[in-house]
Amino acid sequence: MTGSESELVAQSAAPTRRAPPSIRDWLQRNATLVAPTVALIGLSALFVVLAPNTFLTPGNIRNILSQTSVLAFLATGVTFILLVGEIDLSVANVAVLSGVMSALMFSGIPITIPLLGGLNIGAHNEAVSIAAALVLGVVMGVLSGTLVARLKVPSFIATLGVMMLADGLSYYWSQGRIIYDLMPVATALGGTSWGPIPAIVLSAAAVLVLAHIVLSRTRFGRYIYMTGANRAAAELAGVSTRRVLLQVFVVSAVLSSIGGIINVGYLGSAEARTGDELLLPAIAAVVLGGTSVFGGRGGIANTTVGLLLYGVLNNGLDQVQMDIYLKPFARGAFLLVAIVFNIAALGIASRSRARLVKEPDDVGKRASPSAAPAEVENPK
Amino acid sequence: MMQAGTDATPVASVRLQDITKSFGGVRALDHVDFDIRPGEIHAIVGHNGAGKSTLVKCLTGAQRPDEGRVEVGGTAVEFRSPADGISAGIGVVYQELSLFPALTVGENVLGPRALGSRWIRWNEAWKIAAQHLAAVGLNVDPRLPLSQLSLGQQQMVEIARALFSGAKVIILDEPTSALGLDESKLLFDTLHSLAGKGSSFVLVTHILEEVIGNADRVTVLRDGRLVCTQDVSKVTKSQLVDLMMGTDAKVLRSTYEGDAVTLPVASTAEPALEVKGLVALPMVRGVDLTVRSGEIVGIYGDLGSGHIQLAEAIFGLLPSTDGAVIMGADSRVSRSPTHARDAGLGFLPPDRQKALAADQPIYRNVTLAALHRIQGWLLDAKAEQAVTARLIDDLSIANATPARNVGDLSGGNQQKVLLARWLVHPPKVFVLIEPTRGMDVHAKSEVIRIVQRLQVQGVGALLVSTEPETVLAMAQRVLVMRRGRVVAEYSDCRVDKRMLVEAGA
Repeated sequence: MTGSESELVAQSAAPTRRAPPSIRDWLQRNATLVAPTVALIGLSALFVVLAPNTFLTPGNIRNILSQTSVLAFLATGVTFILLVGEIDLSVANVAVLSGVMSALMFSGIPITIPLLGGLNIGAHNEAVSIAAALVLGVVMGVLSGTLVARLKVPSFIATLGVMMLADGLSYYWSQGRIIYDLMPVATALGGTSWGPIPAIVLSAAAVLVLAHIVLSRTRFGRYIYMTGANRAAAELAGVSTRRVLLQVFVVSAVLSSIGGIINVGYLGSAEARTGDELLLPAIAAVVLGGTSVFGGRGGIANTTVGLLLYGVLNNGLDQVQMDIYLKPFARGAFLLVAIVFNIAALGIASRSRARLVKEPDDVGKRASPSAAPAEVENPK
Repeated sequence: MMQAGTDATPVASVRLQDITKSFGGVRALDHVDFDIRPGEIHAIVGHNGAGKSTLVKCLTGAQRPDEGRVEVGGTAVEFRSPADGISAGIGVVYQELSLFPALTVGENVLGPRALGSRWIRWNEAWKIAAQHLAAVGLNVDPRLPLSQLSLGQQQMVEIARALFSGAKVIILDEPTSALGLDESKLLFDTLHSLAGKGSSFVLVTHILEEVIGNADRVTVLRDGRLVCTQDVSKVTKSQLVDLMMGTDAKVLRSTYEGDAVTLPVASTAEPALEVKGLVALPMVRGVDLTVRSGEIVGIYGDLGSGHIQLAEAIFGLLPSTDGAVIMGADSRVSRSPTHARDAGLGFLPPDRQKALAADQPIYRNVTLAALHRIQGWLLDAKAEQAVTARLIDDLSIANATPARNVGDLSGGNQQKVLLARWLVHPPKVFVLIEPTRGMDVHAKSEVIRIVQRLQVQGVGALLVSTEPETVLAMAQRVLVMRRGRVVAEYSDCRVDKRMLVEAGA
């Protein structure tokens, strides 16, 4: 749930005849955000106990945050996508492609475009290199979005194809090269520290805040939630859900591109082989945060908690004494437990709403809203 | 009233006795008796809400009656689920076919049960399927994909499947609503020949001509009560209409003069919406109509008449293959729902669940259609809630606050939320489908009041309903549709429910 939703839920109880909202009510109604937060606190506490000397140190916290930050760009895009009830498998490869492409252009290596030949622009020109990488991101997003929204290709398949396209282009253009001649902007945003805080953490935080505002405060954000909550209903109200879908895929791809460029700065080099392993963590983080894969529920607050949860899990497992080959298993086991926890929380949230429904109804409504099927008509 | 069990007629294959079923305090069925004899075609007729669907559901096991007894072949049974009904030999062919279009015709007939043994002997399977298809008069290759068959043929496949799975009684729910005349005739010929071999059919339909022409007996329901069960040879179509209506039309008394309504002279105001030769196959086959500013035009028709699809095509939900929908200078209003909305159309769909996001707050559902008109790209949720609060007051939506979820409201109040959506920025023409369906009299009259208030403000309305009383209570000019076309128009005259029902049947 977004921040604005939680405020509103608190207000909503006021005019009814129930007792004023208690903390317990609030917790129940926001269970989908509370559950992952509780999991985050619990997991952190566990690692504090298991690795008392290493886990809770400023250096390690910085580590967790920077490791999570690259993921944050992709996870933000994935949040937009899941909120409309779709999936985007191309985020990691689009990120890699943009990082590689901008680095290639900046270092003056020609980009070969089939039929058109080598394209050599933007050598040592940051603005041109970045613009070109972002345009490529837009193109990838438009491609996915068109396939899904207009041609009705299931997003799982459409973005799987786009993922392979992006992967192929990264290898083709880089030809296995590793580029160390990076854009100063990428290095500044990804590889430096502003005071004690790594720049990449600030960049990620900025993107999260911006995305939160877009989702919770703008018309576009509202259309995203309503399209995800009930696509047919949004259409019946005149919302062009096709356009919303297209836009959401473009947002996701552009965020991936930005993340990819900054990631190059974070890593210190650009190559086609690194970065595509971020796909599943990005999706896992969003789902861990409690955003529904069926659309309409969740938001950036959830994703932020989910990112931290994933970051703590990954980092914490490295701090404890455990067979290194058992760690992926432990990670998987925890993910499943956390997801089950989220689903239970969803049940609590809807039960707390169901209690509201049972209030005595006013006169003039004899039929129970949920039990009576549409066929019961003209009661006398 | 005919008492089941006292007459010395053949043993019923299925008998429902004294069935009562309520939904949240509303009696959908009130002590109803019903029986089916072997080899008969038994029609159930009645208006929407008369209890037909509930009766059928009690028969199939989809609903459990609160009181009463169900007998199959003389022994009492208790259906806990549709699976129980099927194993007792009761099959259903629904309006929307429940077949597998991607599988072959043969696989659809035989179903998973016949194919379930470890090895499928395909040659044998095709042979059995072909036999069962021939029994329903369908001579197609069982290896064809089902999707290559016409709708009428697919219906036959469904009947063949029901027979193959051992059904003795098959319920047909509005079987001809999507069929042409030829296909309808073919269907009934097949039913007669199957009935001659001992199968029984329950025919639920709005089209009384089909009942008169094809059924052996007819059961009339009204407001959840049994009116009578008669041999069809002893009734006429107009007697059936009388039986369905009852002698009193109490609903919405204030809008009636006795039984009839006097419609005013047709409006001569500016046309707000013009529909020219609109075709949206298979249900809409060429419709012309005009709605003028401040005029409420009603369209009555039964479920298969195509008037609901007409409304959907006007709002851009169904692709139209020919014709034009014109508002002012815009002659391509129906390109998409977004375009239709921006051209000045409002749309109230028949299915509330489909049109509301139940787990989103009321205010987000209310402002959705006019968000781009009342707000900039940055939203002011307080202003949205204020607009919504005003409408909640205005329409007296009970138990509502702007931030509460729509799903928490009762059906009638959800309908008011949907109406409120189009009052935020009133449209030029409001298309309403079944605006009062499923509501009690109080809620109905409130909805009527809201629409009439819009009319005073110059909004035109196109009111589409399968309930003649709804059309008569609101409309100034009434059209009747049948089989995809407008077949009658009434203005400046007295008209009653009966005239509409007869014109549409």
